[in-house]
Amino acid sequence: MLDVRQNNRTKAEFEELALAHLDPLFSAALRLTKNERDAEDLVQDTCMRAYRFFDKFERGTNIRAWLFKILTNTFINKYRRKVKERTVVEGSEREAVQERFVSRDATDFAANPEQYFFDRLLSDDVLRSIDALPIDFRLVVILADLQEFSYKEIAEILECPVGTVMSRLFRGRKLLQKTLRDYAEGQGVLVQTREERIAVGLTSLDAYRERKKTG
Amino acid sequence: MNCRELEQMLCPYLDNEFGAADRSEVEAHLATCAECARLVHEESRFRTALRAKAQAGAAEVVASAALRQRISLELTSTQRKDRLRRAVPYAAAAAVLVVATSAFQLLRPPAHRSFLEDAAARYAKNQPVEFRLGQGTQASPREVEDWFGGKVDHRVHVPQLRNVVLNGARISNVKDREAAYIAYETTEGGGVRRVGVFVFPDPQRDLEAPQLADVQVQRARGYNVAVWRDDEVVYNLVTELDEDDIRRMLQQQQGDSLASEPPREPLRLQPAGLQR
Repeated sequence: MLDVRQNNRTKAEFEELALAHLDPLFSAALRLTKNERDAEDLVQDTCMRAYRFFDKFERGTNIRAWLFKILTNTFINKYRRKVKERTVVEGSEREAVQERFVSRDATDFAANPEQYFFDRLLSDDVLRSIDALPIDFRLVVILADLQEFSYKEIAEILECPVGTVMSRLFRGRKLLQKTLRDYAEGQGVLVQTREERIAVGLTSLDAYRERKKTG
Repeated sequence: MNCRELEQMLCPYLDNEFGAADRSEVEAHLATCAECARLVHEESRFRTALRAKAQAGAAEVVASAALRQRISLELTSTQRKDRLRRAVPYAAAAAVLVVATSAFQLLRPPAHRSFLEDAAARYAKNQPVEFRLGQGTQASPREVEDWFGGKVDHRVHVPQLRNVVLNGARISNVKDREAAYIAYETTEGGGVRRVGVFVFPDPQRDLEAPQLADVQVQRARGYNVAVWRDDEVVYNLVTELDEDDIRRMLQQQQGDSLASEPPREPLRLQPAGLQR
């Protein structure tokens, strides 16, 4: 029967196109769910949803972006039950605008190449820092820095404007820098000078006053 | 471009999201501002290192063989379910046909309906009759039957309807079949209402039409259509009157037994003078 043949062809086509991206999907799922079991369930759900809607996928367009869109939607709808997290993110995103221009000193800690801590950090530490990001920033960092999607693709995957992708990525990378720097300090990887510590303290104090004034 | 604008553009600049025009604008500023140039250098270094480390770590994460197997199994079972689901409509359609042939009044096949629709449409046109009876004179059914004789191939019995005046007749069609059309009028239910009866052959029994005693009344194009059969000939009575009125009109018919009307007496041709 023609019907059955069609069905077989679709399944074979799906397996060939979609399952080729299983590793990156699982890798991203692990960053999102933070544990292997949930990550496996998320990837399986994603694949089954993708298969169900495979007739909606336009052949020849970007299947990787399409699959990641389903992955993030599935995650947001099903796996992220902590509503609280979102409100925290929204708050810090608002602050980001003010903090951005407070002082450059905080980001200038790596001015001296000898002190550049980042090269000495392990991949695992970096991944753990990504995992610690609030979800909205984490999503953008995963898609941009781990999966190397373009801003336009990320905007389509997350169904948000490109400007939002840009500001979240800016903020996400800033947070990562700070976390990794703190981590490096704790590990003794980075020896902070007294002046630097004061600068960081002043920055946050300024930021605090700024927030009080405007808030 | 000033320093503040540059900081806002840092991410898209480093991520190669800019076109040539924007790039050259950023680079023009960097050429004049050492502070920003340093910032871009540091940010670029961070970005490169971040990507390298994060991607190296992520590359070690792969989907397990168990996960691949789970997905493959679920795909196969979903495919099987899909196949079943797709087969169901065909099974349902077959069931409908079976039901329709045994209980046409509930689920009529489209062919049957198309006859009713066509009869109702032709009735709605209200075309003039070819055989008209004099004003105020009640024509006998036999006169009308005689008029049809030789004009249509099938046998036509003109139904006698209670409280209804036989108005005239013409040759018509129902779909591709030649039909005898008999026009009536009634004042039943207030005002003058038309009643039209189409009589056409159906030797293959394409229509699901019962005997007159079990007459069916169905809706078509906003009219009521009563359908019955007399052997190989089908009668469609079309009117705006409701079902009860139709059944009342037809009661007399059943008493007279249209289907088994006694054989016609041969026409007696007698000189007018001898009839007295």
